[in-house]
Amino acid sequence: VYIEDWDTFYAEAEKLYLDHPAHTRYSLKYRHTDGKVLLKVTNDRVCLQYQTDQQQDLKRIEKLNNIFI
Amino acid sequence: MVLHDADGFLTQLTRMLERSREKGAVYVTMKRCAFAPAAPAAGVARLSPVDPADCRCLVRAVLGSTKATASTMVAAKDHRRFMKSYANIMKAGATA
Repeated sequence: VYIEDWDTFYAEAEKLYLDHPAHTRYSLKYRHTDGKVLLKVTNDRVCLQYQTDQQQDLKRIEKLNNIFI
Repeated sequence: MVLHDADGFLTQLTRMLERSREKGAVYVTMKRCAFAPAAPAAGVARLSPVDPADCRCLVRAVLGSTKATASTMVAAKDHRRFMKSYANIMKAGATA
């Protein structure tokens, strides 16, 4: 259900967005109580999920944010 | 659905992150939209293949416990500035 490896998630998310820019959406769920961030990128056919509680992943999430410009 | 301008939305997002400290979650969703929110009246030709510079991005934030929502449409040229502010807010909210 969750992709374990960030690089895979990032590459797949980028591909999904470049293939279907109008249909792809990117969701982020943050729970402070659990300290967890859950990322989801989907084009309503394929869904990629990644979850983390690591601060170091914040930088990577920023990189992902920048794709969606 | 409450539509804000970019700065209003960022304020709402900050407040949501503060309110969710004890319980609940904050959901942020981003999706590209191919047309402007205030579309011209019917009779105007439909938009042909989208010019990348004209794309707008819809950003929504939901506070899980109270179902409060905020949203904004970000134009392509404002996106860089918006993303910088958004990143700062998330960094401040996500770690403290």
